[in-house]
Amino acid sequence: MSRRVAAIVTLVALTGVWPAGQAPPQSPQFRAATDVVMVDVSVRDGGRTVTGLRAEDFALTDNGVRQRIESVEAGAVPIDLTLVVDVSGNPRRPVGRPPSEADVIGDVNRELRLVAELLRPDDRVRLLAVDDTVQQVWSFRDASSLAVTRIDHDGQASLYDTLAAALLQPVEPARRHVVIARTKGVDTISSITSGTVQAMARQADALFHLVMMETAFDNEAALAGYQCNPNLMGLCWPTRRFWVPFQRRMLGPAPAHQLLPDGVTMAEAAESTGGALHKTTVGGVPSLTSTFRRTFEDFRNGYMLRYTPQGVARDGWHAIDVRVPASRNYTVRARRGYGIEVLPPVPAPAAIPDAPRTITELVDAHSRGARQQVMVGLRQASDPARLIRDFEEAGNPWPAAPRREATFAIEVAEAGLFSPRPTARRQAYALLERFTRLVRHPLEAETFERYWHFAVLTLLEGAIRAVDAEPFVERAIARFPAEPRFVLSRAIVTDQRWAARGMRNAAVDASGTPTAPHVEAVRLAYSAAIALPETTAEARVRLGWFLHRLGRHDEAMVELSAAGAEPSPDASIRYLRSLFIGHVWYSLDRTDLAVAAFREALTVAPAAQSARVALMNALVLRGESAEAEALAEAVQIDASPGIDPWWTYWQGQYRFYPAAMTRLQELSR
Amino acid sequence: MRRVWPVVGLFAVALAVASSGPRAQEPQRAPAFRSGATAVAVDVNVRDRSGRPITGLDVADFEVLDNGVRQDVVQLSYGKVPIDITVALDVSYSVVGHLLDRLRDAVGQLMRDLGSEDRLKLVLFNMRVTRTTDFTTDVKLVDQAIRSAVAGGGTAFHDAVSVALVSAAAPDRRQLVVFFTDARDSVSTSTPEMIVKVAERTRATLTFVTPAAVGTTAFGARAAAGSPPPVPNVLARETGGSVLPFSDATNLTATFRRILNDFRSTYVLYYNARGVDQTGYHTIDVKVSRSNAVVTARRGYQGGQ
Repeated sequence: MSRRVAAIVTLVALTGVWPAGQAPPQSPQFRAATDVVMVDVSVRDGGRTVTGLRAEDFALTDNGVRQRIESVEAGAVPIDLTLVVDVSGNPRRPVGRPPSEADVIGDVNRELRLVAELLRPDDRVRLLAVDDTVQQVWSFRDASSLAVTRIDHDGQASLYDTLAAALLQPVEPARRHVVIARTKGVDTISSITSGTVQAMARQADALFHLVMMETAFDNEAALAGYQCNPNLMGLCWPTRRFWVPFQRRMLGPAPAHQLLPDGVTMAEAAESTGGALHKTTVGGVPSLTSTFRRTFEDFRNGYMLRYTPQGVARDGWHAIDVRVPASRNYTVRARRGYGIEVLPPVPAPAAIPDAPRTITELVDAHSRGARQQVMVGLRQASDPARLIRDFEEAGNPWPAAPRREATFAIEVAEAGLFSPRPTARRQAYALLERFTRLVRHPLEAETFERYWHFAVLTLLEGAIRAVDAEPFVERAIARFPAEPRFVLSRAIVTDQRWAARGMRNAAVDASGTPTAPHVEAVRLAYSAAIALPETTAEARVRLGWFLHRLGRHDEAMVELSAAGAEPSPDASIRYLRSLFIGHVWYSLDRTDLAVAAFREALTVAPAAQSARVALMNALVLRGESAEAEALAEAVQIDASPGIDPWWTYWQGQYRFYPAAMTRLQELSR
Repeated sequence: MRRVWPVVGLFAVALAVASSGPRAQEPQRAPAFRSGATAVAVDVNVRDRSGRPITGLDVADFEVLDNGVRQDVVQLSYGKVPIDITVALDVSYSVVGHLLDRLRDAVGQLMRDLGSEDRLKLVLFNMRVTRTTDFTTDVKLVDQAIRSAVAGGGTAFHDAVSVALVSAAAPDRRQLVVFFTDARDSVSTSTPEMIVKVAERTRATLTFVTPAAVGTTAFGARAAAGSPPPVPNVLARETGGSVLPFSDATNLTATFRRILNDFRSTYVLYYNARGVDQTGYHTIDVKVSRSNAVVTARRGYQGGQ
């Protein structure tokens, strides 16, 4: 049903066909459930309009199949006339003597008065003007008030753009649309081509006539003289946009005025609608009405044939051929066809599954392997405490797979750990603590347990709640004393105490300065991680930053420099090292070295905001404002989705959490 | 004759005034700066004790001390230089829902209050500092940008201040940056000390609309007794701006309008810094020969290297 409606609507819009039961005023009754095609036809015998023809006088084929003409109307339908006037710059006029707006408006108004005389009370007129941009001087109005008071003129010619605007006008079912355009035949600035206009005309429900004034086309030098003003030291106005060439002419030079390729295209565009391209031969500016009076009268005295297509496929392009068999001398003008756009059925959007909300739904999604749904459901959980409670009360949803339950427990706990509610956080820690015991292998520490601890520690580091994380770190190290990542975790969590100010057991005194025991604890913890090759580089970088924050810049530089001895394979650590070296040099008033270090960081992560801003600040201090401004601009317009490593520095090894969970899921299968 | 402009940023306005180009925003009489002198343009807000702007002042009414040395004011303008306003909105977790609607209304009205040559730029920041709309007079564009803001993430407040200060500024326009933020920084790479130095070397005036109790302080972590003032206060004082408190009861539209009016009713004084070392930091002290005048101006500027 929807497909049929869509097709009919398209048909009405493009060719003047009404669906049955929605007939235009004064129209005969149509059969139900059929489409009706209406075709404007003009018939001339030499210079004379032929009137008085009846339905049986016409022979009409639709895609080659003879059709029965059901009715013929003549001149009863009101007209919507779109006039297009070209007021762009005249290449022939001498440089420095632009026409006044009053002159241009006077010319247009004179023609409008003549046009008004041809119109009937029910007709309406819209005026578009070609200049730098498409101007709709006014939209459709009745012919009693046709006057222009202001118009932009003497600019570039956006002819094709303006014609497109004229042809794309939707047509009301009870009216006929005529587009009459007067142009200098040159386009210099449109964003579309003549081919695009032709395609639009073919589909448009409008009779399209185009008249070209050939007067301005002959003098290349004059055109250049117009575009390149000697008063501007020879500077030329821009004459193209994007890929559009310098100028596109439709007519060749005098005296032949042959149609150039663009002219041929535009002629075909007009003829496809039943209209035509007209070349004036008048020396001066041609009159719209003098050129089109005859065409307009043809249209007025033309016929509107109606038929119901029979014996042809409904969809696609329909070629129309209209003749008057009784007289081969008659010239019959009608549009060449119409198209029924076949709109493909719109597929129903894929159902977006609701995020699982309850523990039952989450377990079900988990069982189905719907990882994304589980993650979304947990992150949107409005009451993580209840979720954790329900999980614990329900027992193992996969009795035969305890590792799977242990893995799922981390995911459920994650919802509580990042909750602003203390109750939820407490329950999350309690849940993890319980599973710490459950995952413990009775005989020996093994791989699953190790990854389980690693996933939990990365998660806890990400929550930046050092005091709550420390017991988990100690349990993990007790089981796996030689695991470098656990040793590093101990150092990171210890270091986090400084950042987590205001919390119990904070490692700072009343003035915000770290206490001596805390400083020593952090140094020792990082040193232990430095001693393990896997974590040497990261531990040195973190210790260096810790020392820098203490104001021990020289010691910091020692650690940061040493971290480069064996570069970390982790790009985020390499980035942070260079960034921190820059900050240390800056603190040591070595702005030149700081700038070099920040630049080095940007070679690792070119779009990272932290290094860009740090470099920008340093450059401002050095008085290098141009590059600093460029960096400020780059920061503000950056749309890359990447995460600046500095933004997650305090979350420790949380960057490994997704990978650790993936590994756990593999091991729990 | 070669003019010396050791601190281009601060004196760009003066540059425009001194130049004779047809596009410059020129006062009636362009001042003639002498070779070797530092040309300084400084915004000075003068109000009476009830907060009303004092207008009609002349060059002779001002006394300007540069590093303690009295200077001759060679030119004064009032309300003539077009304004570029940067509105920087904090869209971290704290700015959502109804508050965002109020902000939209306030910024929309601010745009409608702009003069014919004034423009507004919109910057949104959380961890990222993003210019959503470059300088424009299109109210709808800005409204749409605020409407589409998605709140969340940490706050790079210091970085946002620094970026706003350093952003390219038209030399012939006055620069005002208005921050709406709780000033709680969590992820900046810039320290408070750095952005103060940047503020000394750039010429924008910084004004902050912040909750009544701002948590972040400069040069330390806690707002304990005797601790340094919060970052916004330091920056506002340094640049001649202000800090306006904000609460649920605040009429944001009126607050933004007041900011604009205050900035608009500001004198721009031009002088050649003479008798002082051209390099280093220069303190500026401006006095007005009116007993009831309250004068606000930036504290100083950074001279040549």
